[in-house]
Amino acid sequence: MSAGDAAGAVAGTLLEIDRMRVQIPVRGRLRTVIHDATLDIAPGEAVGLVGESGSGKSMTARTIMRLLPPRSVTSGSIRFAGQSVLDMGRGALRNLRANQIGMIYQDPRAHINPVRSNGDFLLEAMLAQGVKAAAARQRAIDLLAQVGIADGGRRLRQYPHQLSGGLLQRIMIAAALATSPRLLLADEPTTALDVTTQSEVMAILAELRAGRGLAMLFITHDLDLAAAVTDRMAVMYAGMIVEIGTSATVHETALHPYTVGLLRSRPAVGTRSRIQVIPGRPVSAFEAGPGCVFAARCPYATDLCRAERPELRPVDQQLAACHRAEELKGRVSFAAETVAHD
Amino acid sequence: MTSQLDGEALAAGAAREPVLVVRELRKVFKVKAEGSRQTEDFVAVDDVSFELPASGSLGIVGESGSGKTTVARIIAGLERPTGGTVVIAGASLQTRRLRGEDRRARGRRVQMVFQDPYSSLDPRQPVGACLDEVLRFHTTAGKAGRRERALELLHQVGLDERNENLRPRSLSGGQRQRVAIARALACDPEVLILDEAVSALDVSVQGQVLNLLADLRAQLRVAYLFVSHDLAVVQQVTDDTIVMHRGRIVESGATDTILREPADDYTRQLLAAIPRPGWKATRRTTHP
Repeated sequence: MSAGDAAGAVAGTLLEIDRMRVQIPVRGRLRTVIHDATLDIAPGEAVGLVGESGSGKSMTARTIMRLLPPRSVTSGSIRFAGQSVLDMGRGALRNLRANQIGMIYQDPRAHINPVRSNGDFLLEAMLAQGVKAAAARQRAIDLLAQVGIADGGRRLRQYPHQLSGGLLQRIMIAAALATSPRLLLADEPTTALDVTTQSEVMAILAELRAGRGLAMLFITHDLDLAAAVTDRMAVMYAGMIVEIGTSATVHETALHPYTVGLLRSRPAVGTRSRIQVIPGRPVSAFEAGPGCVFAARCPYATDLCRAERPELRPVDQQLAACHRAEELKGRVSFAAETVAHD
Repeated sequence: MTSQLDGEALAAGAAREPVLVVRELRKVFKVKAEGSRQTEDFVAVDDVSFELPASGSLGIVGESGSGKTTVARIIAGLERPTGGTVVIAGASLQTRRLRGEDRRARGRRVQMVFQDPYSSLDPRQPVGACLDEVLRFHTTAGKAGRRERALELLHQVGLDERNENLRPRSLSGGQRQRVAIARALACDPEVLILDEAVSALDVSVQGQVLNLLADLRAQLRVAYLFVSHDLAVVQQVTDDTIVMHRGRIVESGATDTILREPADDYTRQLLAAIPRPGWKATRRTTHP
């Protein structure tokens, strides 16, 4: 069984990330934010990227779009539809960002210009493509209808402050789809929304993706949400992907101690028991030692774990980056200590 | 599902006086009407009544705009109600503005922890000074007594001397929220209002703080008013819950019962919207 089969990857890939390593300048010095990430997305597939703050999940999306700060250093390779993203010139890059990949951010209010109308925002990409104003407007109204906004004409004349967060997020989704991209990068698109609105936005995304065969990289801190809406998921910690597999497999039989700990950290509705917690706090990639990035918080860490960084390798149905994955299978548990220092 | 804490709470329940009684609370905000210069009334809180037993724990659940935070802010004295009464440990707040000693007395009884520990702590104030300030204001303890109490508080929330002289920027999100909790507990309040107090924390840190909150309540007998949109989290720290929707209470009762057998349609919608494997996202039929 090859690594690709084990991770449940579909034949033919749209996005291929291979040993991607990213360093960004912080006060004049390069700081590692992603250690070594390998991830594929097939056409039409939904892949979840799950992690806490500092895990590098948003940086992964920014690297794919080449939206990193100046003087950042990226190594490894990123290929979109066979083309190397890291080698793209300005024209190809503009085409990639404008027409091939759509992006949705967590906070629509921070990413939509507040002094321009919703129509200006929504039509901009289409007008830049050379679509006539009237046709672009009609297409925008159609798109708004598809994301559940019936009175599109009025909404286009309004400004962002006149819309609720849920409505504004749908405007952002419509804008991301305006140029018919093949991949959607959704960075915590529902985190700022109420649960019922989240459910609605996810339903809209599912419908739109099914109709267009649109692939999605879904970035979230919510393992349960990722398990519900994606085909496969990758769990990131401190700039490393520590586990990948089909979403159901990772959710039901997580192998990496971090994934297990993350699942146990969330109280489940319907049962009240003391929460098992991972001691300490999530660290960033540059804070991790030479060994396993999770070693400092892992109750099962050995000298080997602290000294040598484990590779992502096939274990059972998924890929896991843990030296002790086989022997710990089904046995990982965390203490429910009173006071955990972080 | 009855934990040890529930058992004790129930046993003590019969004799417990409510520490907080809220009756027919109403809050109307004046908002600018769309497309005109006139203002119109927006009823944020409408006829809300509930009781919080001493050392009990009550959840207020709802989505944005439900009025849950407005209720919390009125009880903390950050907002004045348009109508209704709030009685804390027998002392009525009515609708008047409190001054001087009355205001200070309310501060001793009711304290609040806010959602975002990045904005609720003074960035220039070291942790120890932050606690000392509250103790100086609310107690008569001398310098040595205050320091001793500050260290005790730090230990209670899982921090220690090493954190005493640090400023918030040197602390993680979880540590900052622990400081905010220590600050709120400094003057031994009877009611601790937690407004989305764990929502901004990373998942692995959220669990730690939830366990801490359970321990502090068992240990200190402080009552919680726990405001949240997150039903799983509310289940973890409350005995009773009220569900708010558009300013009104749509359902109230024991938290376990509400989560197991929700009686109201809106509560059912909230429960159905919680993602889990095999979950199908659905579009709502009605819009707010």
